[in-house]
Amino acid sequence: MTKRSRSITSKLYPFALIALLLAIWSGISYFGVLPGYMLPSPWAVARAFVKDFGLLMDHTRISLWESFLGLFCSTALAFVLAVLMDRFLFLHRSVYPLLVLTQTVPSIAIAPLLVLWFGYGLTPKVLLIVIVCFFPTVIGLLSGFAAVDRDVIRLFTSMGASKWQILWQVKIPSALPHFFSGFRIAASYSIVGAVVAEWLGGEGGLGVYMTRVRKSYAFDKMFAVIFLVSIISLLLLKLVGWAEKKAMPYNQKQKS
Amino acid sequence: MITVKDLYKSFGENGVLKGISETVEKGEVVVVIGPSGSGKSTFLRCLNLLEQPTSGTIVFEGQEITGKRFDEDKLREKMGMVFQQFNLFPHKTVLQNVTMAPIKVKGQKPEAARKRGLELLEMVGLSDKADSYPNSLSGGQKQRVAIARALAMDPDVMLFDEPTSALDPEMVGEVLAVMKQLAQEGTTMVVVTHEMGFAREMGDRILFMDDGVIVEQGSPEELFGNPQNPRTVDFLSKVL
Repeated sequence: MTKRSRSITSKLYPFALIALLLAIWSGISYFGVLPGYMLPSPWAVARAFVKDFGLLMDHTRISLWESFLGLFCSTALAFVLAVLMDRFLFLHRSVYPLLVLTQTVPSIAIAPLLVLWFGYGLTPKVLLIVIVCFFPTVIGLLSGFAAVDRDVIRLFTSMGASKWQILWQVKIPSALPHFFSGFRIAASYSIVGAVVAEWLGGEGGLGVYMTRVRKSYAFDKMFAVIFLVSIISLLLLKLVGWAEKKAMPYNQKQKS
Repeated sequence: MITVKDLYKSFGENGVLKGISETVEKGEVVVVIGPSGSGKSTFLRCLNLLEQPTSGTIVFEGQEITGKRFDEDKLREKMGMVFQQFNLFPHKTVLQNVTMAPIKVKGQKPEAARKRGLELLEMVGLSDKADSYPNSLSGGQKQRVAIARALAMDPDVMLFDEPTSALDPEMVGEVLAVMKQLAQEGTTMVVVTHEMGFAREMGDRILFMDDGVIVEQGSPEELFGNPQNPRTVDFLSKVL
């Protein structure tokens, strides 16, 4: 078997599994193992998706906007904090444990507090996304900075480069792969974060839609929106992967 | 040119340099040898303050550089350094690698830096590679570019930190040849190396370091021909 056809077959495996699961699911609905109001059939979900498509897209736009804002703020914040923590050891020592601590608090528990403090507008949603997405990005950057080859820094220092020049020319470029592995996680968290925040109320967004259809026991629509959130997450991951290739074309060449 | 007095350096509890006093004269080639972990590289890095000495003084060209208010960048322009790893920019041509520091750090005009860069590449025998990318070069060629890159800042002293250790054996000769040429031109050099042949042939003075101190020093004839200290004898018996 050629390498190409082998790689195609290996890509087929997950699809085959998904098809199998869909078949089992259809079977369960078809033979009435579970009643339709508890587990709607895949076709019912697809129908709900098509019927509500316009509405779903409106809500998607709102959620995506929140995700984007949150992701942008958290990344900017992560960069600033990581650079400062890398520069000042005392900051690293004092802030790092706190960062880990924030991750032990479940975001679903913080969300009501944020709503209490900031109302039902955009602010608490963006804040929750920032809290969720901030951590993987900072950790990625910090480990990237720590992994920079000491000899390259020495070389630059020996040539008289300033601390800023070393940061821009050495540290950030070589921390990029680590940054992207953290950012990839953050991007997929961001849409989930938006949905969780919207559960607690607001004008619109996929989370709001989800709560509404749940309250009206429209589980076909519920499933439709769950799939939509997964698809958006996957698309965001693809987008980050694409950005990663664009940002580090040299990295790509080395791998192949 | 460089006077080092009572130099101590420790990393936490771990003392690496334990009192080094030494003078390097202008035009002298000083070769530092010794077993791994003896503090040779740390000593070299202290000379251009890549490592801050824990205590002791270093005077360079009449100025104490270990003092509080010393401008380290000015010092580093006068001390070129070549490392074990060449670390050339893969996305820049050979010539751009050489001219980058003079343009970005010294603020030289690109044209002047380019002219000087070509001269230096000529000197290390790589003028035909000026527009090539580092990936197309052999290890020895890369290290010669790295030497040209350090020379591009027109340093008064060249520091070499095991410049041939990362090279395949057949590449070592071409790099040493460039270093010999520099030595013959009267460049002041401090070289940390395991190349005993180079030390013997080109060194004006050999320092043997072990466990953070200079155990013994002398001309190549004295040190290789008639070592006095038992640690020197032991080390030389292993490497020669």
